[in-house]
Amino acid sequence: MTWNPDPDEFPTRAVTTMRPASASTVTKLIVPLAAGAGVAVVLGVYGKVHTPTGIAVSVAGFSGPLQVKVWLATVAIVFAVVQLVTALAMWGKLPLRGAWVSPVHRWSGRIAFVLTIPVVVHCLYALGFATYDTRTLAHSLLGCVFFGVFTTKMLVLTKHGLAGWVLPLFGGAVFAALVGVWATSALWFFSTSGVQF
Amino acid sequence: MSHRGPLLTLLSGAVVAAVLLGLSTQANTESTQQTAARAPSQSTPPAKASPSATAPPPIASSSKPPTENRKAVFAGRVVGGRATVAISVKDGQAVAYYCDGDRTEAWMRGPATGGDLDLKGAPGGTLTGTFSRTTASGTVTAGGREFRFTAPLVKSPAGVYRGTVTIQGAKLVAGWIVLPDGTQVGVFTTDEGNPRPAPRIDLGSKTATVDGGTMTVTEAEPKA
Repeated sequence: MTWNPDPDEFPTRAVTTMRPASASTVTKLIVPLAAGAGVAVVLGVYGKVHTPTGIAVSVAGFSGPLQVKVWLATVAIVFAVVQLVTALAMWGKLPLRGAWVSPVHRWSGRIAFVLTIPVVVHCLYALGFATYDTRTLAHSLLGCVFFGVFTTKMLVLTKHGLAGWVLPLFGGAVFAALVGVWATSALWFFSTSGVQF
Repeated sequence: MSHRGPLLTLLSGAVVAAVLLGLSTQANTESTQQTAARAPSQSTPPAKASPSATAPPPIASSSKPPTENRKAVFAGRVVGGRATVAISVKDGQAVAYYCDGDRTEAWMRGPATGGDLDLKGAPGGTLTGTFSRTTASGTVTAGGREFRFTAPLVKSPAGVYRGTVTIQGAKLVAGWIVLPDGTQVGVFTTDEGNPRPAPRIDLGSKTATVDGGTMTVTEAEPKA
C-alpha cells in the first residue's frame, strides 16, 4: 500500500526521510539527471563553439560588466546561504519552525537563480568556455555543472515518493556548485582587484 | 502547484536568459557597426595605411605628471608558441600588440573596463580576456591563428614599443615587445608590407637602426 505524504502537509518532511531507497527512486531520477546533464553539456558546448564577442549588455551604476557580475553572484550566494539554512530547517535539522520556512526557501532559490542568469549569459556570450588556466577551467566547468544540477533539482522536485536522501543530495550539489563558481570568479576578483563597485 | 512551481522557475530562467541573449546580440551588432565606422583611424594596420591616415598610438606625453599615468603594461609569450603579446592599459582603454618576431604582427585597441579586455584590429586581429593588478590572460587571434596567453605585469624597460621613420620617401613602421628578461621581439614593415624581424632597440637612447636610418622608438600607449 502506497501513501505519498504531501510535503505541504508535513513541512519538516521528517516522514519522507524514513522512506527507504528503492528502484522506483532510481527510475524517477533518470529523466531529471539526463536533462541536467544535457543542460550542462549544451552550455559548455555553446560556450566553446560560439566565438566570444567580449560585448554584452551592461547595468548602469557599476564601473563595468565584471563588477556587475561579481555583485550579482555575491548576492546570489547570500540567497544561497538562506537556501541552506531554510533547507536544514525543513529537514528538522535546525530549531526553526513555521509556515514561512518553505516559501522563503522557494523564493530565495528563485531569486538566487534569476540573479545568476545575467551572469551566465555574459559569461557564455561574451567570454565563452575558457581553459587558459586552472581557475578559468574550474569556473567554466562548475558554471555548466551548476545549471545542470539546478535543472535536475527542479525536475526532481516535481517527483513524489522519492527516497529521503534525493533532495538533500541535489540541493547540496547545487549549493556546492554555486559556491565553487563564485569562489573561482567573484572571490578571486575581490582578492585580486579589491572590493569594487 | 508544487508540481508546476519548479518547472515555472526553470521556464522563467530560460525566458530571462533568452531575452538577455537577444539584447546582447543587439548590443554586439551596434558595437560592431561602430567599430567598423571607426576602423580607418582605429584599427588599420600601420603598414598598409597611407601616412595621413595612420594614427600611431599616442606617445607617453611628458606634459602629464607621472601621477596621472595610471598605466599597466602586461607582456609575455603565448601558450604553445614563440610569439609574444603585450597589453598596455590606461584610463579604461587598452592597446595590445601581438608579434612573432618574424613576419606576423597585429596592433589591437579597445576598451578595458572592469578587468575585461575586448580589443580589435584589422585585419583579423582580436584579443579578448581579462586583467587584474598582476596578470592579463585571454585569447589573441592574429594571422589566422589563435593563442591563449597569460602575461604578467611588467616594469619598464619591459613593455611594448613602436617606432616610425621615413627613409628616402619610404615609411618604415616597427613594433617591439620587450620581455622582463630583456628579450626583444619585433617586426618592421615598409609601405609595401613585407614584414621582417626588427633590429634591437637601444633602450638607453630609445632608438633603433633600420635600413641605415635611425628610428625613434616610443612606448605604445592607448588613446586617452
